[in-house]
Parts: sequence; C-alpha cells; structure tokens
Amino acid sequence: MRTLTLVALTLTAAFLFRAALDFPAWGDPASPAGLHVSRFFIERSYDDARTPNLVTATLADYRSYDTMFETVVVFCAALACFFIIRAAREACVANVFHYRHAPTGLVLTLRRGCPLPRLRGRFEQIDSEWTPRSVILETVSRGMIPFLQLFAIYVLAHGHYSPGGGFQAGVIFGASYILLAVSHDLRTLTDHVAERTMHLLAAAGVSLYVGIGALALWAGMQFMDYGWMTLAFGMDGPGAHSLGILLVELGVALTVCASLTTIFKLVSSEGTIMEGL
Amino acid sequence: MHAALVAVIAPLFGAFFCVFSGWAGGKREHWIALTALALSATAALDALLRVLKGGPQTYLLGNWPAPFGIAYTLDPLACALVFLIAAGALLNLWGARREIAHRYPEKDHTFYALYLLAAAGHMGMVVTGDVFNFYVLIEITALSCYALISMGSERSELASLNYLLLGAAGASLYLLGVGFLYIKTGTLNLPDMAAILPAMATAPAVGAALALILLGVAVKMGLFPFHGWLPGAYGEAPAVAAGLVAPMTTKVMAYVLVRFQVSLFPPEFLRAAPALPQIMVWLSVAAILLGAVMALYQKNLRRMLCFIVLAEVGYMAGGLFLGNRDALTGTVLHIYADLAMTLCVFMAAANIERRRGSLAFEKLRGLFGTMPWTMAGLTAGALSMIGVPPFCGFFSKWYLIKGGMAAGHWPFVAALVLSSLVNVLLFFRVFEIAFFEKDERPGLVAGDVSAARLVPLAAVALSLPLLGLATGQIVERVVVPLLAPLT
Repeated sequence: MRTLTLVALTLTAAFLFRAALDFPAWGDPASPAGLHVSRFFIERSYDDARTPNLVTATLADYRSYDTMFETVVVFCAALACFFIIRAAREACVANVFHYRHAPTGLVLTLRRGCPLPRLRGRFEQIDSEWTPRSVILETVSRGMIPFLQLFAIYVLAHGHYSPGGGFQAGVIFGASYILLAVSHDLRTLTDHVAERTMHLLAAAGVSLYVGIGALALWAGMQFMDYGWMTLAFGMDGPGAHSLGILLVELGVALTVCASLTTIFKLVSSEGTIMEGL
Repeated sequence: MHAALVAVIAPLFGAFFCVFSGWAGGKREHWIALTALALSATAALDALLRVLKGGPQTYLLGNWPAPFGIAYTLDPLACALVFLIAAGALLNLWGARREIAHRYPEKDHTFYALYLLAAAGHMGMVVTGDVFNFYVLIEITALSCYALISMGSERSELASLNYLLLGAAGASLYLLGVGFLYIKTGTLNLPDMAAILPAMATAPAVGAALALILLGVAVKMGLFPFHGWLPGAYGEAPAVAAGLVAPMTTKVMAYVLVRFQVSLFPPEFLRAAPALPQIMVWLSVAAILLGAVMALYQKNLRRMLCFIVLAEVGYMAGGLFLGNRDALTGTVLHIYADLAMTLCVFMAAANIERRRGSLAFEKLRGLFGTMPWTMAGLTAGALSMIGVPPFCGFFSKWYLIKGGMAAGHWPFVAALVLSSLVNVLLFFRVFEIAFFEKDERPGLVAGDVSAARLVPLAAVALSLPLLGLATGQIVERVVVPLLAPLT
C-alpha cells in the first residue's frame, strides 16, 4: 500500500510539474492573469470606490459577494464547533469550587453554596489543575491587550489604504481575548465576554454584511451595490462605495473576532467553557 | 431578476435569525426556518417562471459588469433545481420540530442555522456563474454538512471525519484546478472563461486544470472509486440531516458537471483526450454495479438506500460522459427525478425510524399494518427508483438507456438494467418483511406518525408521477435550450 501511494504521488507530481511548465513566466507582465480582469481593477478601483488598496477594493466591492460567503464560512465554523463539542448545560455547572488562599497557598475545595471561611488575606478561585500565576505575564498582557485592540481597530479602519481589513482586524481583536485567557485563565475571559454575547456578535456581523447588500434591493438596485448609500446619505458614488467597504469590513471583523473567541473557548475547555487550557 | 437572489439569501437570513432567537431565549427557530425556506421556494418558483418566459438571464451582483464582478447564470435548468432544493429542504424539515427539540435540547437553534446554511449553500452553487464563488459555496455546504452529519448515531462522528478528510481533498483539487485556469485565462467568470478556453484547449496546463476540476467534483459527488465516504456519512447521519444531504449534494455536483460539460469544457479538449470520457463511463458502470451488489448485503434500510444513491451517481455520471443528446437528456432528467425520489424514500425512512427507533430490517416487521401512509410513500419512492411508469425514475432511465444504445456502450446499458432489477429485489425484500412478517413485541407504538410528517411525505410522493408526466415539458423547455449550442 505504501509503495502504491508513493507511485501515485510521484505520478501526480510529475503531472503537475508538466502542467506548471506551461505557465507564463514568473512575474511576466503580459500573463493573462495580469491583463484581462486585473487591468479593470487596477485602472478603476480608485475612481469607483476611492480605495487605493486594490486588494480591499477587489475583495470588498468587486467580489464582495464572495467575501460575504467567506464570512459566513467563519460563522458556520463557529456554529459547527458549538454544535459538535459544546457539552450539555448540566455538565457545565460546577459542583465543587477550588479556592486558593493567597498568603499561605492553601487550597480549599468547597461544595456549591458553601461560604468561604473568614481568614485574613485574599482567596482566589482557581482551576482544578492549578498552575501558578505569573505576575510578570499578567501585568505585561494587561498592558498589551488595549494596544492590541486599538491596533485591530486601526487595521480595520485603514484597510482602504494599507494591507489589512476586516479579517485581519477580527483576528487581532480575537487574539487579544485569547491572550487574556492564556495569561489569566478561561474564567477571566468568560467574565469579560459571555458565550451568549459572542454568539450574538457573530450573528450580528454576518447580518450586517448581508444586510448592507440587501438594502440595495430596497433601493431598487442589484444586491451588494453600495450605490444605495448615495440615496440614503446623499453622498457621491465613490464615497458610497468607500463607506460600504468600511461597513462590510466591520461586519467581517465582528464575526471573525467572535467566532475565533468562541472556537477557542470551546476547544480549550472540551466544550464546558468552565476551565481548561 | 432579484428572485433568484432572494432564494439564496432568505435561508442565510433565516440562519442568522435562528441564532439570534436561540440566544435570546426564544423557541421560534422552527417557524423562522420554515418561513425562510418557504420564501426561498416561492422566489425560486418565480425565477423559474421568469426564465421560462423570458429566456436565460444573468444577474450582476454589485452591478459590476460580467467578467469583473460575480454574476449568476440563470437558465431553466438552474432555476428548476433551485426550486426543487428549496421545496425539498422545506418539506423535509416540516414535521421534524419535535425530533430536533428532543435530540438536541439547548442546541436546536444551531441545528436549524446549520440546516439553513447547508440549503443556502446548495442553492448558491446551482445559480452561480463564477468558478471561484462556486468553491466558496462548496466550503459552506460542506462545513455545515459535516457538522449536521456528525451528530447522528454513535458511529457518525467517525463517518463525518472520513467525509471531511475526503471532501476537503476534493475541494482542494477543485480549487487547484481553478487556480490553473485563472493563470491561463485571467478570468473566473464561467461564460467568459468558456469563450477564452477553446483557443488554448490543448495546452497542458488547461488539460491539467480540467482534469483536477473533474477529479475534485467526482470526489464530492461520491463517484466510484471516490465513494468511500458516502455510505457512512449518509447512513449514520441524523434522519433530518440525511434527508437534506443525501438527495441534494450528489445531485448538485452532477448538475455542476453537466454545466461544465455543456458550457466550459471545450469540445477540442475532449477530442484531444478521447480516453477520458471512456474512463469516466467505465467508472460509472463500476459505480452502478458496486452500488447494486453492496446494497444487497445491507441489513439496514437506510444503508441500503445509501448504496442505491451510489448507483444513481453512476447513472448520472455515465449519461453525462456518454455525451450524446439522449444520454445528456437522461442525466438532466435524472438529476431532478433522483432528487425527488431519494428525498421521498429518505423521508419515509425517517418516519419509520421515528416510530421504530431503528431501520434494521428486523424492526420493519408489520409496518404496512401499523404505518400504512408512510409505507405508501416508501412504495411510491421505491417504484420510481425501480423505474415503473409513470413515475419519474422510468423516464430518465429510458433516456439513459437510449443514450447508451446510441453510443453503442452495451456494458452501461446492461449495468443500468441489472441495477433496476436489483432494485426490484431490494425493495420487495423490504416489502416482504414489512407486509408478511408480523411484529408481536409488546410495547410497540401503534399507528402512523403525525400529520405534520405525513403531509410533506405525501407531497413529495405525489410529485414523483407528476414529474414523470411532465417529462415532455421538461425536455422541451429545459433540456433542448440547454443542449442547443452543442449541435
């Protein structure tokens, strides 16, 4: 079987190399990919959408319908994860809680509803498998997270001019939440953003995207034609497209950020969203 | 022509609203889903009537001119299939509210959302006229189907993983092929690409691209020898999900092959590689025979149906690659017919499973007595799969056999006839158990399932003879315009 696989792979590789020899030379300015459709994008994107970044204009305006479905794919991935690995709600209610007495390092395991003893010093709730918290890690992360989130917003807002846009912004924003969970614990993250919030945000992001497209129908235009904003907000055509791009990118960022965080929570806690990593 | 668009985005919005409703604590997901699918079916019907009246149309998304933006290509073939998918998804979901609420407490809203996303993905694949957009929709459909399938019986997670690995490989092959085509042509729009390709039909990269696309679609379609995922995935899936994916996915992939065969693959390409259609027809013969033989060995109704689906994939692929007019007509008819009759038998099987808990043959005893209406539906589907006139399965098979004879491909004809005979054997074995053997176990729930499950089944069962009687109309108004450029 191994030999057979090896032979099949070698044949396929030879076949693909043979095909690759037929490609235009690397970086050839006269290759079909550079001449036919791309020329339209290169020549028109600034006038059409006031967006110097061709990639953004292409993916969020000319081929916006594709990007809409790509965003739905991310949303769908979060739903699939939730559907498959989320544990039943009963299994997600803890019966025992662990508290660590900070000055002495003593760990108390209490049933639900039992009050903590009155001792001097702080009790902190910990996971059943406790790893010591690092002051340095927590402090540095706490300092970094706001800047990460600010940077995500910058990447989103600056997508018209520089590499970036909704997907990247969503990933960076989601990463800041994941950093919070990694440097503290999952409970800290869940206290900040509940599971429900994240699901609603993910659905809101895709709804925003598809809704922007569907509002064009209301104005009697083709789906995903941002031109309806000229009627609604009284702006010129390219300005409307520029704003449309920003709004759909915002939808993408919301969905990507919320979906990534949801998937991370589910996978790291084996579906219970209580503790883990 | 907003109707076709509404057909695709109504289920999308439905999916979002299901998530909102579920997390806001509502219990209205079932009605949201049904409304979305009903809207979708109505819009698809409207689109179908428009293209029948006004001829094929394109819908420009974002109002960008055709090769630069993304466009729908709408013709009667596509619109009719979209209507069947939307109506089928609606009927299949209709009576499943209790079953879903019972099986997935706390998660039912996600089930509905994934179901709607899968339906939207199937419809989007049919209407799109852009080869990359098609890939994106494959992703959505596949991802939602993996999730739906994995929550069935205890073995379904493994089956779903198997499907995921093979399906991801198939989709990647397709994407690689699209990449090659883009390098050579610089476009992704289907009609535009079809206009450019004939000039370079014999270029090695184009040949490789078309071969990769063909391979990718064949994997997704479950054609022999890439069928390994199919019986497990459809056999172990939860009943409602199986009723969606088993009728739809393979048929949509067959539709895509028809579309590519008619309007993308340049005739010079097939002439330069005459062995390719031959190989594909032989693979189809193998698929038909394998499906028929393996179905005989099954001890479970749903698994038996899965292997019949495998054989049906062979019918469609074989007819497609025989390439003559009759065979292509048969393939198109069979896409519609097989969608309806597979839906019919899977819905009937879901009803039986709901009452009896399992579809193992020994659980089918005495069904004609206790569940007469469901069994009537199963009988209608079975007669159509066997190929009894006036059910639609007869007419498509008739054209396929005619096409096989015209091409002089006797093994294909023989395989078709043999598989029909095997279908007779298979279904009558089921009927024998269900009719003659009595079930005297205590505690058996007597009576048929609720009307909410029987009425949709009856509608699907009635559509089978109606589709059959409409064959002449379908051929004249759908197939003839489609094949007109070929002559």
